[in-house]
Amino acid sequence: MFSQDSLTKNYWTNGTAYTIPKNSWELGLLTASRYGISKNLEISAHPLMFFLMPQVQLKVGWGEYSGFQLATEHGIFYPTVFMRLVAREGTGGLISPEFTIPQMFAIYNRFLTSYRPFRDAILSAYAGIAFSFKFGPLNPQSTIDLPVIYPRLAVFYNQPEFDIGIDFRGKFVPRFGWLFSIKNFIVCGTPDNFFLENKGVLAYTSKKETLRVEAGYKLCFGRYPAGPQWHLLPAVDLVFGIGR
Amino acid sequence: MRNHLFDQITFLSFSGSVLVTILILLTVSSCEPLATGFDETEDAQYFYAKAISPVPDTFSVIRVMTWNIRFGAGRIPWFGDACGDRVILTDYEVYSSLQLIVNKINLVKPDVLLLQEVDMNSKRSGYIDQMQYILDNTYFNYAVYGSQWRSQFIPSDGLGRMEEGNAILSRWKISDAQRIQLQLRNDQDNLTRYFYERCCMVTGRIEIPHVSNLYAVNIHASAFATDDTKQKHIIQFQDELNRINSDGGWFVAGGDLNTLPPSSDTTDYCIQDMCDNESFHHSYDNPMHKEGSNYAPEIYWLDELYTKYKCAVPTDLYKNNQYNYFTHTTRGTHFWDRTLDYLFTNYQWVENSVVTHQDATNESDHAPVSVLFVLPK
Repeated sequence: MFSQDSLTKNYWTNGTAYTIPKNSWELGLLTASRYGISKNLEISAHPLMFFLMPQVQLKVGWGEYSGFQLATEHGIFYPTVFMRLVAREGTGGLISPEFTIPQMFAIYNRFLTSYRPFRDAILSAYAGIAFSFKFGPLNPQSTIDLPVIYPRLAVFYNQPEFDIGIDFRGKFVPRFGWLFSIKNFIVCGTPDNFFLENKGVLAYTSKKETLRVEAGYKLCFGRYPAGPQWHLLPAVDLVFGIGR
Repeated sequence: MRNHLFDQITFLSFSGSVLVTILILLTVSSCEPLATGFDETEDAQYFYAKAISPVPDTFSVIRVMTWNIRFGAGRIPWFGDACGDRVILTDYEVYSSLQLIVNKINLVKPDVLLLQEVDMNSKRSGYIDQMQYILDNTYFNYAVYGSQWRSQFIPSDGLGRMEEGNAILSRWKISDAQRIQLQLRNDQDNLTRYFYERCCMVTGRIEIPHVSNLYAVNIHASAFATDDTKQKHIIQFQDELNRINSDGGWFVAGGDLNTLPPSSDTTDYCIQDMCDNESFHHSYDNPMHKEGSNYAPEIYWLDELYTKYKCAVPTDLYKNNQYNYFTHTTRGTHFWDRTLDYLFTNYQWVENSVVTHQDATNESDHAPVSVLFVLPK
């Protein structure tokens, strides 16, 4: 899947400094879907969660300098609908209904760079910062103390939040690829401030690159309010490519 | 009441279903199960005070106390047991209640203490380790703990992480401590039961010098079971006491049995415990009685315990002045209106030494009960 053609077509490049080609779609079942607006501009959003927890992101490609591809990402994240939905009595109540969830959103900006250490691989690094804006008080005990969710909502309780990480992906043989990434979240203003996610997946891509199946693991560590915890979670996804 | 939150386990909306499914997929697949099950019998957890306090050398009696401390919630109207709307308590609220609790313990000065509803790492109580807090702020040196509700995340009502259990605290070392699983409720669906508490007993041998085979047994029986689960808990408790007795051991045993003494005048508290928008005792009411509030069908369940062993509050004493021995109420603004907490022995209490500490009205929704125990020679 990471043939020279695939790389120049910038396929499977979420998390790297490459943008998806113009007018191409990549629709993920569980991860964000992407669309190429122009040669150096893509927009992404999560299809399933869009109406509950809208998150829209623009990636701007800045070209290649000395072998390093550069890009920036700029996003906005609005979790109020989701948090209000789960602040409820009974099943599905991830947040106590005694807490009021205000209107709030977060803005984040990230710098990415990618490098191809050898033909069939991309090594990327990124660093970002997020700020939140709230239109009312948010009770600090209204957190959802679960892996994956907690670090992504942490910016609404303490800020700013930094994220830095590396991403290494490539192919073994045609149509079979791999990904290994480490993402760190650092939250300012709280001792529960560090979260790490290590993801490793194997991927199979169909011949015409219209379907990608990913399966692997996500290992999460975090300093939650209950103390440090590790979680090992499955990481699976189906991604459909359109317009290739 | 506590199980009302689980009674509503119906998937009300597609989005709710999706969320719960994702949550379960995520967490069941993690290293730690979403809710922890237990073996029938397993070792209890041992705890030690940061500093070991000196123990008196000569004594012929010790004071034993039982207390359901309501996870440090004091008299706050918690949603699960007091018709309230509070779920997550603040650190300040929990520490304030714990301070009242340790003040009372330090005043009464029991030598062996049976505690129920001790939270250790629960979101509802600010993730405070109440076991260690009580050990470090009293003169107790040792404790053993058995979890009865352990879930890394309860996706209902915002409860989140839960770790609640029963403990035995002692001035002296405790050995051979065990957590004994009590019957799970059969009147719940599987999903509810998976996340629900798993009642247990905790037992341990108190290593008092020159006293051999003295055991403490601490139980917290089901509060809301509508089937025969609570009766089975009492039978299991009795079986454990019988086992110690037949092995030639002595015991001080008790806890929150969640049922009334046999000679109680009032046996139905549905109206006293009724929340707004609830209705009971009418032909059209379903259920007719509030869960956990109608003790009439179970009023004889303790008969055999009373017959075989010595209750700290003997039947005659209780019968003639029930009001003085009430230990519980469901309402924060009400005085004690029923007796649910007990102490039994197969040896000897000091006559007329039992005290139901009804002045402890702010610490918990249960009053502690203490009594002097004559040490076997």
